[in-house]
Amino acid sequence: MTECSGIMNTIINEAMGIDEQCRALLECNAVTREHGITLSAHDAAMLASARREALRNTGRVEFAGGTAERLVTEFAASPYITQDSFAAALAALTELFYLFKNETGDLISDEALIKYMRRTFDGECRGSIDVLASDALPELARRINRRRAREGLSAMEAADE
Amino acid sequence: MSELIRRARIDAAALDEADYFISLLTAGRGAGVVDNAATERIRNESTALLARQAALLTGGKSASIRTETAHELLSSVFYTVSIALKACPSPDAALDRVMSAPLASLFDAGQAIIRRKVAYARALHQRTLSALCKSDNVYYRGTVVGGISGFFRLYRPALFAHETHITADYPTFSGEGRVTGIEFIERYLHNISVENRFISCFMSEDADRLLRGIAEDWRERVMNLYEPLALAAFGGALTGADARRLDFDIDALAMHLAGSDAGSTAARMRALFPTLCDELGAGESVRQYIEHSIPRLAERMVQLLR
Repeated sequence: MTECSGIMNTIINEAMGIDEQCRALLECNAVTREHGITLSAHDAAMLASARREALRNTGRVEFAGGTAERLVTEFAASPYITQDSFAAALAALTELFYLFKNETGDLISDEALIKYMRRTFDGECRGSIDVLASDALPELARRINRRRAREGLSAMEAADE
Repeated sequence: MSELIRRARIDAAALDEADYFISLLTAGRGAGVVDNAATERIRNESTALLARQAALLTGGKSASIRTETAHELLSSVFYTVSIALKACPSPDAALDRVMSAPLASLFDAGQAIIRRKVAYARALHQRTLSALCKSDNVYYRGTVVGGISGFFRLYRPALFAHETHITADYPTFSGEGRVTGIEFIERYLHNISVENRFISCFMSEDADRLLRGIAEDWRERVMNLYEPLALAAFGGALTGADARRLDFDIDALAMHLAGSDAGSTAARMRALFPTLCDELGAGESVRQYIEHSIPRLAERMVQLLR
């Protein structure tokens, strides 16, 4: 099994190259420019690295990509995001995204989570990533886990039948 | 003539039945057949398959999954590919297939075999349940009825083909080796089915008497039922008693086998084996099972008579 684990780790750790990620992020400028936001090559490299770090920290692996780009295009339109704050905010939002994919047991789709993050960031969080991290996202996780507990009991009952 | 006989590149004994694909690759590298380019191709194709499986798991709604889940998905991919490769006539043929066929096609072939195995195992389970001997051992019934049914309820071969889910508390005599998933269930059901037919050769009162003599609480013990019955049947055959009654003179057996080691005991058991099978009305698969178990039964018999 050592050989198998070694192959697995190599595959999982190299699922998506940094250059490929940077290119994909820079292509988002076609959309973000409309909101006065542009990512530089340095920003893209920083975000690609932040994404990799976030995946490692949260124990996740991503194959298809697209999450970082989706966050970029979604939050570029936020009234609380400026050119100066954009890259740093996106790095933090990326970490929160993967963290709460874990916290919600992968029961919420990427699109639904990103939409929720944007809605609450612009709404009750008034542009505060800290409030998003400490209030809005934990509340979402609690709601989803309560529902999972209810549905989990139903599944067990069905299995017993 | 000798040049017509191609020396096998891969030693079958060096392959791991629980990790066939990877052990085949390792052996192939050692034999100089799998080079760096092939390893790179297989790794890239493994990544693509893993990505495909992750998309299947999430319904395309999530671009990322937990690392542990990725490990499990990849284990399932390798397990499925292993199933396809084990269907090849030889390890050399399996290695040739790895070198020539895309991993995705091996995966698809493996999935098709797994689906057939699951269908066959379900049918065998139903047949076994309909002919289940009247054994009061709780683990026997618990595993064969509830445990195996639980496997079929929980098994997800498309994504987690390597998982067994159940613990199969009741032990069979032959054991199932190190395989998992449907391979384990297939072997376990085969062993259970054959042992069940063997146990059914005897009157339940005679079997109960024998088992109570071994352990008063045999109904609540985790113990294989085939072994004591097979030993008693051979004990009867060796001492000229009626093997079907599971009752013989132990002192007469000890005298009969005095000074015999496991090898010579097994030889005597083999000599009596055809007659014993005729007496029991044993079918072909039961005969094969008994014959295969003679060496271990002989060792056990010698041990018990010491």
